[in-house]
Amino acid sequence: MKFLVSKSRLSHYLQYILQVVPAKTTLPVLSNILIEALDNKLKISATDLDISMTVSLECKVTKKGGICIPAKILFDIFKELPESEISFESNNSRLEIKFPNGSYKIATVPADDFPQLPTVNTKKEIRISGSELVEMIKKTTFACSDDDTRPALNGVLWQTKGERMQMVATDGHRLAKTSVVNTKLKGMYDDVIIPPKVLNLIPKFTGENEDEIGIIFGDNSIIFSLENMVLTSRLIEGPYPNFEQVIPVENDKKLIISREELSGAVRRVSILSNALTHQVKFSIKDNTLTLTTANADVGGEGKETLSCDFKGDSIEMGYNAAYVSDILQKIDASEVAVELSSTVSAGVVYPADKSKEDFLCLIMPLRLAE
Amino acid sequence: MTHFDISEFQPQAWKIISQSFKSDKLAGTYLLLGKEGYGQFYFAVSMTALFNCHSPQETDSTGILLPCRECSNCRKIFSLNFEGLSFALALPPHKNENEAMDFTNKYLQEKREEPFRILKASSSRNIPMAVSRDIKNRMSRIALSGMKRVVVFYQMELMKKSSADSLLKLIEEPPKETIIILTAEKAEYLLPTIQSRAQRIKLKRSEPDLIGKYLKNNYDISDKKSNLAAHISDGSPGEAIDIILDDAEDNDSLRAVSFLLFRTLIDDASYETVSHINEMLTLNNRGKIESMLQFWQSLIRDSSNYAVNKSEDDIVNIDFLNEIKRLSQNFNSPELGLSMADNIKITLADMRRNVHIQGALTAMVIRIKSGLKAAS
Repeated sequence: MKFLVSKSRLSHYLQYILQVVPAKTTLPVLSNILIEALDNKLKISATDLDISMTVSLECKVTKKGGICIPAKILFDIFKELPESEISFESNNSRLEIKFPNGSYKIATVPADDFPQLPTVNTKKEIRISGSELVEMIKKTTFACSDDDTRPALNGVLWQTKGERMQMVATDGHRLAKTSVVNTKLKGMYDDVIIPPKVLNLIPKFTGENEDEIGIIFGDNSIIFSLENMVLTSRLIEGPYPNFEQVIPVENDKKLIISREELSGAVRRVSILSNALTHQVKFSIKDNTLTLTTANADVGGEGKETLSCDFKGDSIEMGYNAAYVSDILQKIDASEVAVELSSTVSAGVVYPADKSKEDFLCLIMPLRLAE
Repeated sequence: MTHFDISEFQPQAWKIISQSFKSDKLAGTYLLLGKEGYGQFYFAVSMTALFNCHSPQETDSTGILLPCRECSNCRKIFSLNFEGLSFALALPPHKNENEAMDFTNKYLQEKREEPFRILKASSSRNIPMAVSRDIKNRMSRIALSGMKRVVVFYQMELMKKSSADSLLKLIEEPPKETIIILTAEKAEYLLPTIQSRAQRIKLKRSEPDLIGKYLKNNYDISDKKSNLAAHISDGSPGEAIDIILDDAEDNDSLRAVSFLLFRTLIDDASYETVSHINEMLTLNNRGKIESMLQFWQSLIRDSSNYAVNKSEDDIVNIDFLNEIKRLSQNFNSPELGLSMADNIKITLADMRRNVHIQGALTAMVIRIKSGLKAAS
């Protein structure tokens, strides 16, 4: 294998790829990256077995081939090299990196030893709007569980069968569901459960651009094809619990309030909430919402009153302030609507100016002390 | 390193696995029973290799299948670098996940270098809850097609009950294309709920000649030393390796070797063992021999006390608890323990007076053997 590439160009991609290389692992080969020199193209791959990332860049290849090299060592050397064209040549289990003022040699591992990466069959690729996908990801991944007793809840359910494609995440205390009109994936694939780790990488690499993202659904993995980059993730074994049955449909009380005012008040009041439960009491009467909290450990109490638009009988609820804050952060609207029923049933929160179908969150109340 | 197939060490157990694999009737969970040194680790790794080998080889005479050792999967598996093979190992106390991973990597490296090597630690070990959690998390991912995932819970008896309980579902019903392998010295050390969920495979002692051959092929030692180690290892390649690698740099190895010699002294009725033991002892220097004999004294005290009181509270060498309980059957007469301890005391005194060490040791071993024979 022999190729020539500029330092800045390769460094840029190495920074991406290092995000997938595990800092420590019991499988030595995972601390390596796979470098493949193809026809005037270089492919660099890394995996932690859950996620794989492959970046491609054009470069001058004089001899094709592939090897694995320790990612961190290569990155550390590259970081310190002056800007120049750098030549890579592998020979007898060693890689020689040459630049105008010198050279470095690193021991390599055969390319065969690298874990098998899913094959990207571009014929099966479907391109969907990048901004829509990123928006859906941002609105759901925060609600994923990390409880190992129910692994399916540790991922985001992505449903693509119906008229609308939707993503759902829940940890049993809260739920987030968002959907958009399904133009491309309708009825083509079964539901999949995707680990949030890969989904959280996508916004980092797409930024705010509107480009389309290619999606390939595999039997055991999902592939996201971005510009010059392919991200792959193993899927979580289902089934996902029937979440529809926990979304209340007949909550008879409705509160509409400024998102910013509520968010600020919750943050402030929660400072004095119990460190374990973060419980804040929401008392709603007429058109007034009162947030109160008390913390015996620090001998503190907090209270704020906000005006709101409320329809229904007065009610008192307890909520985990951290969960409320998380949800309010994800709502992109000046006002939020909260539908309630009783002190023990779930509240439904959504942007007041949009349909619940687009985005809704569910939050379970905490039992208030007598 | 010269490779010896696991079927040479464990022909019967391997036959069961080979036939189940051939007839596509693999169990979801296996429980490998036997001493650690019998090769449970190597057996589990060989199973993984067979299940994932691109071209398993059939032996001519018996039709037993073996992994080819040459395909990319076999190479990765035997170098413990295969994405489908995970281990949950018992670790010493550690401060954080980073340190836990350091211990795991240290043990895996030892096993890479010598798959029969017995894992040791200066303090008690257990399989941490975090390791089981991590494995469960990994198993929640859908398996890659064409790959049989294997998870090895090594020395399952060193897992706390609460952690073991949390694995019941995984053990009872492993995910698709996943095989769980548990290892333990004895089934009764595990929860009945775990025992009943796994197919038991009993690993047995290996022939001393085979162990000797393995040692001679893989270690730069004399024939004499390899034969001696093979004969006093009680059929355990791991213990034989402990003996030959023991330069007594670390106290644990010295204790392990001393215990093996002591066990041979008590268990083996033949007078041939006298020369074996004596030669093993004299391969060490005077300081080490003294330490070994002092350790024997404490083992005699433990065994005699247990024979009389049947109480574990009096046992000092708690790391050899089960073996001491078994050996205590030979110490029903309190006089026997006293006379053995006296013999060692005299030998230690002789050694300090610069008498001929080999002669003093031979005399001591013969006296102890005679005492044991008379008592039985």
